[in-house]
Amino acid sequence: MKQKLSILFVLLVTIIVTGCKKNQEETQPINLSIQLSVDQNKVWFEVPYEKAEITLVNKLNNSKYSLKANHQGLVAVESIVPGAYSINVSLKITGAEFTTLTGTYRESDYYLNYSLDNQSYFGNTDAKIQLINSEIIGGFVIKQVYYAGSNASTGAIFRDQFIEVYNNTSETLYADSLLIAVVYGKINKTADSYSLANNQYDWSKSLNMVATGNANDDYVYVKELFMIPSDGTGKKYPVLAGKSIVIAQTALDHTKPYTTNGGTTQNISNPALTVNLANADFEAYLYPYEQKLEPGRTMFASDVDNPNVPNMETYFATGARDMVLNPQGKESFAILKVDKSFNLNNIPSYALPTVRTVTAATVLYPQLPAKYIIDAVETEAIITADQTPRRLPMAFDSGAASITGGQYSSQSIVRKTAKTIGGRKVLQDTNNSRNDFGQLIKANPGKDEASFIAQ
Amino acid sequence: MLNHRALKIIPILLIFSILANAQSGKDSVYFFSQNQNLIDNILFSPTFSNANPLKSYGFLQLDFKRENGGFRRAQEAYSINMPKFLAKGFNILGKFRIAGSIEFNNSSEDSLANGQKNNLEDFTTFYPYANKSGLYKRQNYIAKTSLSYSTLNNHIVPFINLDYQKHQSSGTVDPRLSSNRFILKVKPGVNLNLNRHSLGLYALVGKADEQVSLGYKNDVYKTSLLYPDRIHYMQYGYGSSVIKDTSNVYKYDDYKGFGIQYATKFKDWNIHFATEYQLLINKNYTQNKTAPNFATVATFNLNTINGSLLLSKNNSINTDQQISLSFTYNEGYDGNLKTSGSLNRVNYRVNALNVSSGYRLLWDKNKNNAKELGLNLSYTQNDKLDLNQAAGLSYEQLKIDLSGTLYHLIDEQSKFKISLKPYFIAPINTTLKYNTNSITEFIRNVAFTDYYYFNSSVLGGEFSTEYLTSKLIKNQQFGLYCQFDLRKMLKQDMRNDLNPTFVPNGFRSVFHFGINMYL
Repeated sequence: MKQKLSILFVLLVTIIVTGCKKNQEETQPINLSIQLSVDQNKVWFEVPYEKAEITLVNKLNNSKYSLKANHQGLVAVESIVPGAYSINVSLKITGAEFTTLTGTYRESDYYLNYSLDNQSYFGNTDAKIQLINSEIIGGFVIKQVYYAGSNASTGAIFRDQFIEVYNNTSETLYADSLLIAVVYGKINKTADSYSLANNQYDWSKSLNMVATGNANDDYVYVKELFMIPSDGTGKKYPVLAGKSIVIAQTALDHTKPYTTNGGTTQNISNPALTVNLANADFEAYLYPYEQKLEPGRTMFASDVDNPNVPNMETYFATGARDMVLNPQGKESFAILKVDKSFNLNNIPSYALPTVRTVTAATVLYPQLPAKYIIDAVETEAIITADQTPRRLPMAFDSGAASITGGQYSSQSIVRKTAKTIGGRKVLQDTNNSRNDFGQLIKANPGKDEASFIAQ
Repeated sequence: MLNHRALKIIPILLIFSILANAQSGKDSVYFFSQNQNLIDNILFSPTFSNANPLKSYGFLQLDFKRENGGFRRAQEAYSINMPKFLAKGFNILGKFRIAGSIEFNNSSEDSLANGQKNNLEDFTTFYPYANKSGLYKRQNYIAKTSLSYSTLNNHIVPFINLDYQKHQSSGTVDPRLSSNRFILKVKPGVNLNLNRHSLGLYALVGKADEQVSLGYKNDVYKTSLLYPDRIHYMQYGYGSSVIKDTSNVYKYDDYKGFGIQYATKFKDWNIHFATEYQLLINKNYTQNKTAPNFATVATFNLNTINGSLLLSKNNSINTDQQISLSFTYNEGYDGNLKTSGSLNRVNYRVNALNVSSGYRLLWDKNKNNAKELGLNLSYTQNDKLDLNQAAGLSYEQLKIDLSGTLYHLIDEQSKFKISLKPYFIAPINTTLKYNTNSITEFIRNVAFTDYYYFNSSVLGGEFSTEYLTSKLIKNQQFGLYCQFDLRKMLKQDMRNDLNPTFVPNGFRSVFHFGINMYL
């Protein structure tokens, strides 16, 4: 009996062990090849792909690969860890090289860029990337955006936000009629039938859409739109070469208590966390705009008017009663200058594509032609899980800037200084803000040396 | 389906009915450690119980544990305080045999880092991880029952065992862990008795649900990367991790398996043999079952085979002997969309083997001073590997201990025992694999630290004593006990290429004291 039981036991254990051993496939290192190309209708010359700087970042372990393409634009990397990757490609062709390649004289640098995020590579993959020419328009650039705000209990929350615009040329420019746009997009990653492949709104599916060209790539849709006023001469607000202007949400010294529109005192617990915007060049003051829409509406408490600082003209604002910027990096920013053919008082506006019935209460987002963009910057949350689909067309910013501290951290994104010519700083502008921007641990509206960062 | 409250109340009623009917007067059962081993073996086994003359047993314990010291693993607290209540027993009522146990424990673990998971087992993955150390609270409610019925003149005994556990862990610093796990296992079986042979066969089916979440009270920590130890990562293997990927994990698990138990008597030796196979199928989700796009994100399968052999010879007037052999083998592998792109492609593997053997000899057991010597030898092997990261830790250890116990009869109503057990743990082979180009926080703070821990030689000693008396309440035996275990790391070979946040060093002590009540 015992012997039979022993045999039975041995048999059972053998069956168990062999039964459990399935032929399991194991994850293996993968080979990735990326073929770079261009639209030859737009980039007609022979591209020196070997100059491209390609950065591959593994989202699982943050390991970074700096890669080079061959002359034919082929990037090959072997035995990398499978997983989700981001890819950033930046190719700079100097003016002299451009002249040699095309026979056409060019002084400024020429850029080809592209970036991709969350690309899943779990097997050997042949990927293709078509680089986009990011033509640098020159002139004004966005130097600094302080969207994060400061601590919600000891700082000023969002009240101290500002945008700094910089004259990146060697000549005096005029800020008159310069538009500051807060570009809107989806604030989550929800996939639906009214979205593009990256889950951003597909604006072409908005009701009653009328657009010349591509409704997504040739336009931006804004949540807030402000304009620097002008006296009609176009030369009221000169900005010297290498100088900047600061547009404040509320042009007050946020490091000190002040009286709100409600008559109460706005105290500050930790002045070190916030900034003094009393010397800003312009401020957003929405009360006149709100009175046009809703006469008699009470003033927003913190939208205090500083009579010494000129007010921006408000053309559109929704979801906020001041120039409130999303502190999580879920908006993008653009500066534009329109020509006389574009009527700012009658901007085509559309409902979100997901809205299928438009009523009087439906929010319609103004549609601005991207051709008027002078400069733009895409922002994103530093934490991948919190990131939302990009809002700007790739041609205007193929990357995205972010701050490590997250919302209410007092940090700002700031454009790097590329070089200094005779004391004038030239800021880096390759239309790839992943490369062009860094961060200030504390936002600085002072325009001083400390407000610049090196490459 | 019974709800959780009913599942708690039924075992409580059952155990107290058992304890109320338990008989007293089985002094040797309570006194000698060999008999206690035997009792633990037969408690939930109708198979082993059938071959044992003991017809009832009851035991209550109030215990307090204090554990602390710097010689610890990366995912272990510096200090642990844990009060525990345990009640267990069995009784034979006619053709029925009823057994049960209930345990409540509530631990407070201080300076625990890298431990944003439950502490029920060491093999599964897919849990959040952060380097911030802090205070954790854990609670366990564990209930086990066994019910059998003797038929056909005790030749066939159908039985059913139920194992229930409710676990709760919570952290008190950002990122704050919350883990709630519920496990229910059912083991229906039948025991066949023929002459001196008993054979038990049972199936095992079970379910477990767990919700793991991380919360932040301070929004700055939630959205910022400025505080590295507050950043949480989702751990997807043994090194593969994604920064702040999700803060909610839902685990819906299944258990399957079977077991065999066999008891017989050969000459003067009682033989108990048991083996069990269990497959844990762990499925992980980022949304709960009611979410519209509920889908499996990762799986983990764990095959566990364990076996034990207990040979006891206690028919002699003066001496008892006991030989024990046991093994547990675990083999696990995952499938994770995040690391391998498929639920059927493996990135993380673990296998672990523990084999132990022991011999105890008791003599002069009927005299005023009984003595016992014991020798135990155990071998542990553990291997965890993350294929994507080319990272892993494997170790082998050998532990040897020698114990000496004196049992002294003071008078008819009181006695005490005192035991000393020195031991030595020797690392045999410890191998750490990692890729210098992709050292994640987990590899640095867990794999590196644990490498030092398992690569250390350890010398330790355990002292225990218990005073038993029935003078407090007539015919009711109580035991006042304490136990102290102190281990010291002997040597450590430091490596220049490893930079963990902390390196295990110094001592680790475990102190128990409490009261036993024998029914």
